[in-house]
Amino acid sequence: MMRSFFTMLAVLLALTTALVTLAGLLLERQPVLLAGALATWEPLIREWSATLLQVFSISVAVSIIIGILNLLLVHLRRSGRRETGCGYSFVLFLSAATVIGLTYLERENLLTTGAEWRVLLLEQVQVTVESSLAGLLLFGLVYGAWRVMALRVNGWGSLFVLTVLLVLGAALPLPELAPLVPLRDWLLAVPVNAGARGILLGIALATIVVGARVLIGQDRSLRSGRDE
Amino acid sequence: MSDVYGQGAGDDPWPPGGGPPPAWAGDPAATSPLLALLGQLRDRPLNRLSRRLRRLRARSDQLARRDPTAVPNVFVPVPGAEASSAPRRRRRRRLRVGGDRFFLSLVLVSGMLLPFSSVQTRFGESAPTTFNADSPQETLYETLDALSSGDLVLVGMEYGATAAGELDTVATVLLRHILLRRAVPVVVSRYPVTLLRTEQLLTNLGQAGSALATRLERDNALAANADWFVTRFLAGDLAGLRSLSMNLQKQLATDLRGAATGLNIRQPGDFAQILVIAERPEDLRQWAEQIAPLAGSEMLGATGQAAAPLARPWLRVALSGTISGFRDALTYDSLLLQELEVTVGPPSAPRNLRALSLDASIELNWDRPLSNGGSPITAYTIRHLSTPYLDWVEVPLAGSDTNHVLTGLDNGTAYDIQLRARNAEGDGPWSEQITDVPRSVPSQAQALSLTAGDASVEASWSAPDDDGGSALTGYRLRWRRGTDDWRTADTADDVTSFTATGLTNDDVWEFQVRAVNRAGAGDWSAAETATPTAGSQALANAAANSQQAPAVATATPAIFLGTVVTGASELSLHDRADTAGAVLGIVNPGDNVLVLLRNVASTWLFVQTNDGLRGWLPAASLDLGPVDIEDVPQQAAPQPTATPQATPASVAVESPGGTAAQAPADAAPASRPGTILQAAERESSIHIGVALSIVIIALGALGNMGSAALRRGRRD
Repeated sequence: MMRSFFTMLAVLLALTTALVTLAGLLLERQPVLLAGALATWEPLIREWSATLLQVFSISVAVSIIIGILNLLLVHLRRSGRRETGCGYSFVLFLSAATVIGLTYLERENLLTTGAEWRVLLLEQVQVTVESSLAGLLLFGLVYGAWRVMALRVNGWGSLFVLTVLLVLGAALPLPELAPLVPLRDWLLAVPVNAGARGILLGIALATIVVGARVLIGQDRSLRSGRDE
Repeated sequence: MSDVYGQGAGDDPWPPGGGPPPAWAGDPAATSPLLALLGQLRDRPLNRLSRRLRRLRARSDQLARRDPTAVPNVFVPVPGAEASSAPRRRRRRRLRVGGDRFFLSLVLVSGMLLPFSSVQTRFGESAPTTFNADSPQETLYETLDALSSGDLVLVGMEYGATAAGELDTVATVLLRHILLRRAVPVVVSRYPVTLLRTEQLLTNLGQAGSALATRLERDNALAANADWFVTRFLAGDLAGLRSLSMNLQKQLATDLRGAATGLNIRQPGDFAQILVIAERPEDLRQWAEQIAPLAGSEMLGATGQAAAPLARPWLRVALSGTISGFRDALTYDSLLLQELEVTVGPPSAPRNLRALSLDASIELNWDRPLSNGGSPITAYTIRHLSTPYLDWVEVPLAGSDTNHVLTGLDNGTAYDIQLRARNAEGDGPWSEQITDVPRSVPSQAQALSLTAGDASVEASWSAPDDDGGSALTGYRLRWRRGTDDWRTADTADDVTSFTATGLTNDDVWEFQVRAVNRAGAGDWSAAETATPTAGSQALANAAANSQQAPAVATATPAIFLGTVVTGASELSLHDRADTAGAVLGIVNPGDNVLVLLRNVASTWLFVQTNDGLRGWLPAASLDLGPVDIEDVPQQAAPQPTATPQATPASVAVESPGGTAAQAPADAAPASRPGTILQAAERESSIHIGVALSIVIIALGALGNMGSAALRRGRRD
């Protein structure tokens, strides 16, 4: 009994939040949607909608903090139990503790060289590591393309390789390859954009469907309490 | 499978005791419930499988107790199974290094590192030094180039550390351009690390002694929350962006470190421009959907090279200008280079020299030179030349003030005026020449005489002895009865009589007149009195007089009053007739200002506020009442524009703003103050990487096709 009451309360809260937010967004663009006596509700609904968005943003920010704390605790436990890869966990925990400690000391003006340390960590560690990881993608792609027709040589594989060579070739600043540029531009402007737009449309439709399911209380997360 | 079910275990062969399997073993259903259910068990989740296995084992044990020979003991302990339940030992994996993979990686890494060690390895055409006309790149450059001092620019830094290698380069040139125009970037981001990086980037750009600070003639570093703002993290991804659009004032109230920014921006439309530097096209799309419509204007965008094609559709609907990748950043930097390249030398010419005529003097105002030559400006020199004298008269001025009043001049004489700046390296070139005529207000109008009529008085006077060096523009007559308020009428400069009508007979009316020229109005003449009486002869002349000199002012008054009528909350007072001019102050709707001059095109008015502040306002923002704007005195000379004369090669010059600009190609990039460090090397590295990738992929494809053909040949 109590459980279904809380389930109903959660559903009611979710639906109210969704409807108020949606109404606020719609009224912002089309203020004439509410006529007559209902028009007096417009500022209130818009204010509620803005407040809910703020609450959402704050919740996300807090969840990030919780996520970071949880991550640190997990790696701290792994380090303590000496599980596989505990060395990495220890380095991660130590790095995070160092950054947090340095930032705290810098904010409290207890560290005169805080800025240099922060820059060092940011530029020489964080960005370098992330950029390197992104760069590794190139090697994977080139190796994949190198072996793309190793198993079977067919028309689609050949088309793929030709397209890759065309796009890459047109990216080079060589006058000899200039004739490739219009073809590359056409490829990017028509087929690539068409595909990208198709994907975007699919995502948009799926988003609408999910939104509609939430609004009518049919989303799985809202029904979970009743299904069990 | 064999570990779990115990079949095939070497230590306990099945069937127990050896020999061929019994006949019933061919029928799974007859063998055991375990084998009969094997097919069902395969698709079960593991947690359920184990439960059912436990039941099966219990059933098997029960059957075995009844008849040990009927049911094979399928759950006999198996060494492998025991081992699997024990704590997992660390297994040493055999290292497999693919020779081809290693070789390809080595070739790629070697090739891409070469540009950082030798310029000889660069190939292909260098980045152009200017953008194509009417291209999105040129549009972006010109839009930022048109920013005015103090303009706020909302900058969305929407990229993470993975894209920092490329987009930091792009962000550097764009932020530098904004700061160079003395505009103020307000940075927001949904990437917390990027906010930290941007703060660092802006700090580096504007540190004391940097090319930018020198160019802006700043002795100290550009300061956070004054010259630029990095605001707090935007949490919530798309919802965070939406929240920004709905709660802009709150979002921008605090900076990255929680300090108050002092910004009071209520809507996106308050920004002069919106610029988004995005890693993904989706970020551009979200800004185009959530922010641009509220701003009521198109945005500017910048992306990486890979994201540029997918960002193009938004270029048509929400973006007015874009750049992408290293190549555009290098070209952009070449354009900025000319403004930033500062080596020690004389300053360039002062700009926007303007004059205001005064009595026997001329008030001069000007803007600092675009370049101080790398050394602070220590003095200015004004020179003037008038018609009676053949030599220039130089007036040295100590200090760096940008205004001066030339005195001891002759009213009515035209003076040619120029100005130049000086620093420790010497004098710069003379500025554009302007001409102005000092003038004073005229002396008193002479011989005011009155003729009383029936309910009217005819006043006549003669011109003043001294017109103040400027032709008279008219006369103003005033009259009153006793201590009543004055009534006034203005006449043209060639009309020296006026009949005041509607007066009460038998009362004493006091009259005064004064002459007006472009410098202002002269002193009132001595008061004369008259008493209108019924039946006077003067009445007969009233109608005629009123036709040639109506009671409403027809002459051009020298000084006008205007009222600020702009709909905005406040209006900037500029130092020149251009929105690009420096903001000198603020006027509010309803403020009354003194209108002094208009520009040639009559689109701007030079005004003086009640606080004595002088500056230019758009003519459309002022209500002049019944006065035609063409009646306002015109500016003495067209607005001068700085054209450096014989500018030394080492001195910075104004950017051409999109016109051809030849960047010195032989200079090492790192030696140029305005150039992005290693951008050229990075671009060459990418080119070599792409070229090697093409070769590798082509060779791989050809090799694989050849191998396939060989295999096919062998099969045939």
